[in-house]
Amino acid sequence: MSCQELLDELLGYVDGRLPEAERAAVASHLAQCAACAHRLAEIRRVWELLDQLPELAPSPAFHARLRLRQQASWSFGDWLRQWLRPAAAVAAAAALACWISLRLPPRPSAALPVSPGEPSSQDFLVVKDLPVLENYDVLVNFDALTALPGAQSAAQEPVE
Amino acid sequence: MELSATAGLLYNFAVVSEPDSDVALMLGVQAGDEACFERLLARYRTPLLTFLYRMVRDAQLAEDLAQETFLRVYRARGEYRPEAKFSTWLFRIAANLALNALRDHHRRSRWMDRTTELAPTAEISDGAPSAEQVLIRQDHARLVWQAVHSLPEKQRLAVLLHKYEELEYAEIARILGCSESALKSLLFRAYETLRVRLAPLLNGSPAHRTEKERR
Repeated sequence: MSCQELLDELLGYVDGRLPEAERAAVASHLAQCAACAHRLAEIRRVWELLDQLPELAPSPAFHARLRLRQQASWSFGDWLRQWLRPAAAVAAAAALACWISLRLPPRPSAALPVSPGEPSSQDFLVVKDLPVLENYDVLVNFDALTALPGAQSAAQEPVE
Repeated sequence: MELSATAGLLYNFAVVSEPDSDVALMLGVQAGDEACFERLLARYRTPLLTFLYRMVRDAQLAEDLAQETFLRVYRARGEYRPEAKFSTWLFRIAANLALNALRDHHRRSRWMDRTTELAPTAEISDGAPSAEQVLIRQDHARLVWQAVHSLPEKQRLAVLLHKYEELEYAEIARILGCSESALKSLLFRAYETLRVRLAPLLNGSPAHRTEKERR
């Protein structure tokens, strides 16, 4: 490798992008050529000095400003998508909840518990009809009632 | 937004193999997922901003250009193809914006007046440096800053992408719109200029040793 050929490869040697075979050829030349080794040291130093360039962190308003500019450039479709997405999520959650509630087996009598001391609606019916039941025999055999029009058949029907 | 069949396949592959990769996130943006855009933004915001700042040397302008770059990525999300490396695409947009801004004569006159401005430097923590060491370091940083900014715009762009963005030669060449050999020639000239301009800082440095000494 000549000195000119080495110069072409020197940067790749410093930045580590040079393939291994060519790297070995450069190293071999550098071991024998003081001038090229000196040039390498200088380029390497330049490479190191470049680390001193400043960095810049985003300002606190960077994100907010970008968001505003982004929204200003939105099309109608973008706006629609932005607002529909949360609505669609809520609708999907509601649909899922409905589906789960329908799929679950019914819970044992979710009605109000009835304590032994409290009358049920059936109990009320029995109590209401109690006078009729108590006088059932008398009413069935009460001749005066049979005289009423249409009462014959009604009297023969069992009282429920 | 409809994805092509190939893009869809690549997307599925990218999501399954590397769900947090640039390609997967960018395809998520393409599909309308805002969270993917936020993650790309978080990943590239500072490197892009720093690159633009080093290029234009104006913090406010760099921030404007970084925002414009992300906006253009967002607006052009439908045109992104997974075959292209995201960072190459991103830095290509940023580089074009920076070059256009620098060519704006008004802007140029503004920052050309700032050659004596000392930019904030990233301090390297190696114990407590003396006041003299701090001054020397700041002076070195100022000289490096000025040397980089004395480079022609395209050479500066090439050096910044080559030194800091860990991009391959082929990728940098794509960003600059030139061949790989033209890029190498550009870089060679740029580093030679820097070597001459920074000559006062080169002697007696840790790097100023021969390969024999290194071994």
